[in-house]
Amino acid sequence: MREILDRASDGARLSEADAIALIECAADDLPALLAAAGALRDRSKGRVVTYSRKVFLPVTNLCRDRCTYCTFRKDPGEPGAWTMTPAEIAQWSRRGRALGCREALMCLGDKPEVAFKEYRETLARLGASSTIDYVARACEVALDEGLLPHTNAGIMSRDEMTMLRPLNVSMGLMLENVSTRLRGSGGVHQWAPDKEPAVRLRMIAEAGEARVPFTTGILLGIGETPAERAQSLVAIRDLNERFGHIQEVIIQNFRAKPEIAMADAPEPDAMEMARAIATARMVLGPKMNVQAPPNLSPNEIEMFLAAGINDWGGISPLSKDYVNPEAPWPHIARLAERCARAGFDLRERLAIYPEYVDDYWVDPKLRPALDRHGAEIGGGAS
Amino acid sequence: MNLQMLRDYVDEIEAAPLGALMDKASPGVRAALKRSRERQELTAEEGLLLYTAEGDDLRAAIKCADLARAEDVGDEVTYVVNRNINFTNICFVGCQFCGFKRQRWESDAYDHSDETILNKVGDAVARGATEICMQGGINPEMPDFKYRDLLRTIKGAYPEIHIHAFSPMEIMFGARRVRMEYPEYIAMLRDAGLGSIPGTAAEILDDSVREILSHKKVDVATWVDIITTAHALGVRTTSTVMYGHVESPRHVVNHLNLLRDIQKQTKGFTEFVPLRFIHENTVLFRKGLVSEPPPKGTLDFQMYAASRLFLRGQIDNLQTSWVKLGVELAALTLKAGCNDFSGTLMEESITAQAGGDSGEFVPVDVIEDKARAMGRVAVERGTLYKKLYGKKAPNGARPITTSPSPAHQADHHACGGSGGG
Repeated sequence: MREILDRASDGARLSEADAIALIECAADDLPALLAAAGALRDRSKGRVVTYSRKVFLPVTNLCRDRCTYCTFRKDPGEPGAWTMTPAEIAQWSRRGRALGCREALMCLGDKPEVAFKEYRETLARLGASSTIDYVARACEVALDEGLLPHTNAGIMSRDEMTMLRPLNVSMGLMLENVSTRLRGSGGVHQWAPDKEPAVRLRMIAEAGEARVPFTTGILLGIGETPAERAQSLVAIRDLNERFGHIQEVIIQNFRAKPEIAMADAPEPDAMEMARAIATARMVLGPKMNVQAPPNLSPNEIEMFLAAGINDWGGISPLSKDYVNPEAPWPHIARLAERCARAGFDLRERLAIYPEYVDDYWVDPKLRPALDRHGAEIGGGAS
Repeated sequence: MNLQMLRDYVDEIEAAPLGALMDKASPGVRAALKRSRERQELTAEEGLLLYTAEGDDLRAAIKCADLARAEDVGDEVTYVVNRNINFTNICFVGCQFCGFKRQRWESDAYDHSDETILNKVGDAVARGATEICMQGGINPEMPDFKYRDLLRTIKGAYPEIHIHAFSPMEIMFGARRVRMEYPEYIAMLRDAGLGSIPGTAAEILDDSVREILSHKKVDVATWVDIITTAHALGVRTTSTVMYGHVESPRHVVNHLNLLRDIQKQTKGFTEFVPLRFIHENTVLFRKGLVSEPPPKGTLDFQMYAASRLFLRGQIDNLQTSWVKLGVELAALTLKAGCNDFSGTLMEESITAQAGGDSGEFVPVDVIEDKARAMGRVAVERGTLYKKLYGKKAPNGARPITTSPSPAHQADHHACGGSGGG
């Protein structure tokens, strides 16, 4: 254990076995793991923790997948089923901008047009040939309103990502987990064809080839083992070694909700989150941006900082977290206070990290808006 | 073609662009497929062209059927966890395609007691079944209200199970026996717990063909009368065809046309189930009225593709039959227009007795694996096509995922079934 931590701290590349040993370490070893991860973070990121002011735009909550932990997705005709109109997207963007938001998070269901005739008719009425075609329009609207789009629309083809690239400063897809077991009978992804790990790994690779700064991460508490969490982190590290496009890695915990099939499933506890965060830091190295959502673990802010995160992700002063509607985002000022008490400086960032703002990663058309926002938040963030 | 060749065949069609396949098709088939792509209703002549399509024409038809399936019902492959119960094999009808029926004095004739049937239902419920599919021989010594009383017995013990039972042949027999009109008789069965009716005993809905197959069997007008009466009473039915025996392609298309016309009026069909004729142990084959049928493959793809396209807009659910085709070929038909994998059955004997060799039970995990191998997702449904996504009726346990004990493999038949019933 000590030896693995020393090697990682010296910049060595950890093996899958190393990663599994870290995440499964004995309780007695946990303080050492957290300390090493925190120190590794400090070396590159210092005591700065960032967030992005965003507006969450659920372009459509229809989805062809049915993950048993999801409360976001709806069937057509179900109460709450919603596809935003261009006017709604503009209106929300404007209100978000007025509240100081800079990121437009386009977060939506995966390929609903494949499953639902009604939705195909909706798209036709909106004059769009596909969901991604419509997302492109939503991105244009958000850009016009002064926001920087970041699209997370599930599985996209290489062509679709290329089409969206001039309209997005970054894109994302949670890997969730590399375990194929989760797609088996009784698994959370049994009815979610887009959650096939090979499909997700391929898309993330194609995003790298398409030069898209990319956000991904793992989801804890969906039936995976700690070893599978570690394997997923290693898979993300390997993809980033090939393309260098992984700008941040999210460690997200499942939150049970009364209305879902998994209502009774145990939520991963804070120590499991801390193990995963620290292992992520050790596997991914000092430069990676490691993120945990603050609204899903409001009591663990200090522990997550200690375990090696340097980012809280998007925080919206306007829209709720549509994926975890029961968990309000913290007020930014209050989060800043807590970070400060723990010795961290909370700073705003954009939906693209400063290290990616260059001609290789960013379409030139986005630069003026990007530079303007960068100048506003200061600190050489872009 | 062996299975691997058939697999390559459907995979190539799936991978090929529609335009390329359409370009190679003959003008008549291309025109029909183009109209289908535009959701126009196909004429009987067009249906005939598609059902008899070969070579490039068949490839284009399969492609269009697969696309229509995806557009109309999506990519999910449904199945029902059910148990077949063929409560008696004693039958006087004498269908020439049947290897199941026995005379009452034969040593292997049986007529299950209520206790036996309740045990089978109880076992099915314990193993997660939502449906009991029940058909039997036409036993001349049956008590007058046997069908009604069977329903009451089962529903009394298991009120939540869906009973899918009694073909139009049985309804005709049951109603005549007690001199009731069909509306009155079907309403009585409905009120006793009948959930839906298998649209079997349809074979080929043409009286000249039926005369050869089974001259005592329910005639076309009566079949239609019983089915439409059931629909009018809110009792939905499936629809079936038995193909690959003495019929001509024209008969098949006329049959499809009749079903489509009924559906336009009633919207009462839940699904369409083509059932290939299994010849080995049948009188038809022994007498030489049918020759050895063509190998499994082309004819079945023609049937499924043409059905999907011809019934488009009227009957959305097209069920493949692992009982008739075997699990492997049935899986391939999921790329030729089918969206439903039928049921787990747990026991099946009508096809087995006719010489079918596909077994009597397919566990849920096999259906899931086969769907996955086709790039699709299997989803359990109820009889009326409500998808369950893990939510069962309160008495429904987890679906069975292991093979049944030998004790359960003793008896008989397929729902939608042998075409017999």
